[in-house]
Amino acid sequence: MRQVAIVGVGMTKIGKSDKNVVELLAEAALKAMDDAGVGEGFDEVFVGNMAAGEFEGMSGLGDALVSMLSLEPTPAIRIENMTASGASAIHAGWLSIASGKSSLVLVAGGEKMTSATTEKTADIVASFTHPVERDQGVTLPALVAMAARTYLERYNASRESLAYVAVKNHHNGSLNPLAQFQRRITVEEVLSSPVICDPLRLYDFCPISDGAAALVLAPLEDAGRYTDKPVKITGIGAATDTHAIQERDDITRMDAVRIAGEKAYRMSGRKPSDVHVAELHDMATVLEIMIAEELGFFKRGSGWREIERGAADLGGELPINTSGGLKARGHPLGGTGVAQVVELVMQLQGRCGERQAGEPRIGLACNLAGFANAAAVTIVERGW
Amino acid sequence: MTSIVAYRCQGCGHTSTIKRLRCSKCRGRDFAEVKLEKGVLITYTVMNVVRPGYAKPLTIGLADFGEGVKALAQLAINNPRVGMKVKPAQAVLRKIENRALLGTIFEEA
Repeated sequence: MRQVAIVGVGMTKIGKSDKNVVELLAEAALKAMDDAGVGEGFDEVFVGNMAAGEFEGMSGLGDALVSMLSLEPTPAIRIENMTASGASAIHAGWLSIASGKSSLVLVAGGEKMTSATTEKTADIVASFTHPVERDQGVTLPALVAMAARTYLERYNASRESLAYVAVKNHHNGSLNPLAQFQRRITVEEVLSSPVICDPLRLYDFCPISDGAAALVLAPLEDAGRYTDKPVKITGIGAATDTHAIQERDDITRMDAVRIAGEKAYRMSGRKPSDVHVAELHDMATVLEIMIAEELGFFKRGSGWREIERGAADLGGELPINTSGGLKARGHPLGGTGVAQVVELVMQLQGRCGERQAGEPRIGLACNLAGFANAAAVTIVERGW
Repeated sequence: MTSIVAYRCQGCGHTSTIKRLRCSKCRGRDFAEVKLEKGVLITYTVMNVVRPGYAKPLTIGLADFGEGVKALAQLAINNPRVGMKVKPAQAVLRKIENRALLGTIFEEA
């Protein structure tokens, strides 16, 4: 297997857009191509997207993207793995280069969501659930809220600690020009926002977003053609868990995250304490804490306390979600996994301006699919 | 008495409310239906944002029926408490344009 490098990154502004998903993907892709200084020669294109059919009645995103960028006849396919479609597209792109099949790959992930109502969006997102549970009316926020209730009770965690995740990530988002939310918030604002699924409130959850992000991948040995600061993909890991939540032993545990993390650590030869910066799938505040524990960053049941005392702040021991995370950067479903890695690459390259978290050399991204129905972890490191 | 149907593996006895072609523990393929009638509420949420066709607010919960068998359902309970006893009951789960989806929910036992 060849070593794989990220040699270009690009991302749209995340938020509410007039563009359709293909236009968003193309905007991000062109930025990534310009970042790498390459306009031709792609061997494959991978598009991460969860639900363009449901949101916009569109299929064939690969061909549509290639055509908008005039990259025909490059083969292009869409990768769908629920809300982890973005990370899965990166993993497909990694395999294409690592195996020797391709020498230049474009990975783009994106979603256009704001054309649907909140209720319709909840319905589309809930399409990943098992029919037995879907019939009962479950939504992803409801599953997370039930897990939050158990987590808070079992570990005697403070409700304020969950709110602090939102406060921290909004602070980081306010320093990210491409983030959906630029406004800082307080713990009091989170705790007085409307209840969505108790005990979780509006500001515990990520927004509904339009947006896209993209990467250009090449073999590390060729990376010098495109950039002085290639970022190596040193670890990838993915896993699945039960389709129905009621089959899990413990609603607060996310085995898919733990196993995906273990695989990525093993492949990279790294351990949790080696990671300098992380982007974790904070679709709701409590998930940042639960994921951080599953990945070994904090002891089980202590993540809430560690994050509340500032361990994951920009100046903390392990800055988490420097981009603002799903909470403040925004969560265009299939775009999120790619946007997470875009942020890590920019952190490693020292391009994050006011939100730059020191001089990190190793970053980790965890992209969650559904309610940890699957997870994909990616570890990246400086390649220069 | 309304009950929830679960599937007990004839090879190892592992039981789940979810129908699989192969047992998640022993890969056996033969299952017998068993009835679940009494559970204990593990967790719940009251939803103020619901999908089209569902009542708002909608309360759903997860209950333990023993032997590690759990089931998730709507709760027809005004003030749910973790640890309370629940039992299955028939009700309308969802209604779209006068078409009702019937199913099993939980009420206080």
